Amino acid sequence: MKGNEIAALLDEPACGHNGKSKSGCSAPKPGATAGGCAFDGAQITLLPVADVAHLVHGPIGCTGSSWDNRGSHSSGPTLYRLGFTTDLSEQDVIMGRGERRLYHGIKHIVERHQPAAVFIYNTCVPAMEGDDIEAVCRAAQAKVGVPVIAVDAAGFFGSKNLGNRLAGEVMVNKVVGTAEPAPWPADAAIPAERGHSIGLIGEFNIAGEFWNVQPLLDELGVRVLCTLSGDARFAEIQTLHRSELNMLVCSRALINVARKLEENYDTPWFEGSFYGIRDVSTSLRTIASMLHDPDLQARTEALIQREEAAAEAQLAKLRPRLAGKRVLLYTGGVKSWSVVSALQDLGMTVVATGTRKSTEEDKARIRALMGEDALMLDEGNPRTLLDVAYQYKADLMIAGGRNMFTAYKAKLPFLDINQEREHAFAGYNGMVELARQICLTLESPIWSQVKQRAPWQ
Amino acid sequence: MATIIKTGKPVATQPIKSGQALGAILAALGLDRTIPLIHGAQGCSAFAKIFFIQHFHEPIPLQSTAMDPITTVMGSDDNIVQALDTLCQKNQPKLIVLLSSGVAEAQGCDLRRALKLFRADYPRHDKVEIVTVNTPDFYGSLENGYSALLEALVEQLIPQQPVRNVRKKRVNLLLSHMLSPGDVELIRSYVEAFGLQPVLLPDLSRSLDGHLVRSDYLSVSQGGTDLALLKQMGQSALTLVVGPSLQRVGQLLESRTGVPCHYFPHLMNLQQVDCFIDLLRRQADRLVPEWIERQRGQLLDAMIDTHTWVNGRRFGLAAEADLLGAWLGFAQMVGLAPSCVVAPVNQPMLASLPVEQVLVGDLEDLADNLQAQGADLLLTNAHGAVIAERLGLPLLRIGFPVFDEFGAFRRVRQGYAGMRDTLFELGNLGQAACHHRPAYHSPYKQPVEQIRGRALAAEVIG
Repeated sequence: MKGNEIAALLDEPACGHNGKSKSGCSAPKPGATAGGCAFDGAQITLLPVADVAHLVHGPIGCTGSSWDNRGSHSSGPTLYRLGFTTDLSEQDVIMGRGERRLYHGIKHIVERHQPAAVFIYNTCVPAMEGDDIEAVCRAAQAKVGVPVIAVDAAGFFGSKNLGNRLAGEVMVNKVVGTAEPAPWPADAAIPAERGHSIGLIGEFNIAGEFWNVQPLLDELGVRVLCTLSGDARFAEIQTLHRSELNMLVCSRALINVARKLEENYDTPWFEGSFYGIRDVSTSLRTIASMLHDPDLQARTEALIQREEAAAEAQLAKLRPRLAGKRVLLYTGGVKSWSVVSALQDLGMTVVATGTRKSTEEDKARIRALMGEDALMLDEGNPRTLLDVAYQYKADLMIAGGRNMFTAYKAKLPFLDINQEREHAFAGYNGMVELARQICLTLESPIWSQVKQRAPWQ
Repeated sequence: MATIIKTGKPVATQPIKSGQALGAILAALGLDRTIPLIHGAQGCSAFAKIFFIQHFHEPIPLQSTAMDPITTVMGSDDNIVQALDTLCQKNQPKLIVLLSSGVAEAQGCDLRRALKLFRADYPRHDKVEIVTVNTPDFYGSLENGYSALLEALVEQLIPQQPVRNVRKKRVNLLLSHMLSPGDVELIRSYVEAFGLQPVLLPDLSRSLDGHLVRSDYLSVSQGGTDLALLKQMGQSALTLVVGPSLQRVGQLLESRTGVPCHYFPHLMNLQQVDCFIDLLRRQADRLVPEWIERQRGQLLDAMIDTHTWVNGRRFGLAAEADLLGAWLGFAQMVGLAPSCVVAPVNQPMLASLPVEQVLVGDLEDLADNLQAQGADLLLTNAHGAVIAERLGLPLLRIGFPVFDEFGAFRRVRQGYAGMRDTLFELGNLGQAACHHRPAYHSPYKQPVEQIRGRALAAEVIG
């Protein structure tokens, strides 16, 4: 990857960060980094593609400690859960044998595992050495007869966010548009004439949570042509150019994909979220209205009414238990406000929210929800988070898994809302699950006991 | 406060009750160089032997008086005398526990009278202690037989003491059947950590802890409570009783010897273990050792780490009363919610359990109730595996017998360390259930083979 290509990726016109003081993704600061590298970002963007062999080209450090640790669920193939790596040795590095190892690695994988495609992720050492992985991919593909696709996003290229974009870019440039969709299923409840096909970008099916939403879309006759990349298949990505509408799910990271698909194929897109009852309904409504189908819109309204009532019936029992509880929320991007509104809907008070990856637009929405004095945390080191929690008498912290033990060591109830979580929070059912999980941690009888001293202390 | 409900079924289908004799045998196996002798037909010992062999994976010393049709009708005292003589000659025990069976009690046999006959006829066996205990299987359950033997030991072996000669460092521990050899080891180490000398009654950690000894065959128990120490229990500074079923034993010991007694229903929640440790600290007048503080901290950490996987999970529970109390105490600590609780027989302590109702019944009753009320977890002995499978619930094996798992017989559940590891086990069961969330298959998902790829090689690479 050349320097100017990276610079072009960093300059993302559709991204709110691109204006004013900040221009695109900021470079990581030595000694004060949080979060992963470009390789990490590229890998997690594509790893959920289930029938692809994901081969990491590099020494063991890059994948040895990170394979199969994400919560993306597949409804079929499990190939994506294997941690392929060329595992370069000292001799390989010194003797420049990386390319040969990669070539033979690809051959071995295809023979043994018959993947739909092989994705090759470049890493720092071979990138610095100058391995020509594109050439290896071409040669290997000619030999093995399945697509072999290089994702050139070595760690030192930049941040995780950059890696997300790089990976998305590779899909747009090399995969999308190389196949035509399967015919509409003949036995479908909604016939082809009334059906629509959409794409979802940035939906990773963490803990299988998209399966809280997909049955609703199915009921409406909205076919998900492809998700990028939860529970996806390689062939589905090939057909993404045929989607009538793309939804960018709760993520700025792949905004370039949505924009490029609009440029290349005129596919309209919008940004939405499946977290919180209001947002799920809004997203469904937007899908229906952007597809310009009055019949679909009517059916969507009926469905929303039914689902909201069902969720409300379940939430009614939980609401009094949550009313007035104070939450410190630390998460990024769209979630910084979409989860705020979800929590407020439950009658909870959000005392502060993290805005590390939020745009000016996101912040405006936060102010609208939490008032002008809303406390926004740009930086969430553990000390700051705990101090804020104490100062604002938070009953609960909601954040990513890495902060779980920050909270736990401070004997503070906690809910994990990021990728590594075990529970599905998307959709209407997900909201009920979220409320239930908050109750579980808040109401556990252990808190009073762990705070109490032993009789002799 | 619990309401006790009797199911009134005319039969037991999947019983969790085991006869009193089993309890007395279990307690006897925790006494040094002891052999229990059951006065009954030979099956009385054979079934019990298998029960404990399968549970402990150890040879079990146990004999019967082999009542036959004639002695059953005409009187079987001679069988007892003969059996005692044989055991004394062949096995050289320090102690024989002579216990009765249902048939012997129904026949009206008098163990004490038979013992007197034996003593009169065989003065050469005078050095062998013999304790009698009545354990008909038509009354009570394992728990009753276990405490009955402990009461018999106190009455028959520990002398009345009008004036006390106190050994300040010595602490008696009366330990319920619910404590595994592993639990007992931990409790002993707590006491010893304060420089105190524990006298454990019984002491399964020195007999059925599953360790290989040098001698190839022993026809009596291999370790356990030392008889000499047992007889001196009246001289101890203090008695700590763990398990409600041993309350009467404690009272008996206190009234005979004046040793003050402290009662703990179990050591399976923070509060009880804290009290236990604090009592030892005050008795010894020493600081709490660092390793105990450390394990307490580990427990607190485990409570936090696992709390979302444990809190609110509903469980079905079937076990002897002491064990019900321990698990319900533990459940209260971490927020496990009892869905249905079954006891084999009614016991006085059941009414005070922190649960709405306790069913006196069997595993079938448990399964029926769980089917109606739902649950996430099952806590029973190994016989629960059948209903666990049918209901699709994970089973945590507790009580007697556990015949299908290695190491279950000595698993530590009590004390800080036991609770810590139990929480991890429960957390893992919760997570495993979550990972099994079924996949959704969309009817609109494109069948991959129907996607018409355009010229793979050239275009993909571009």
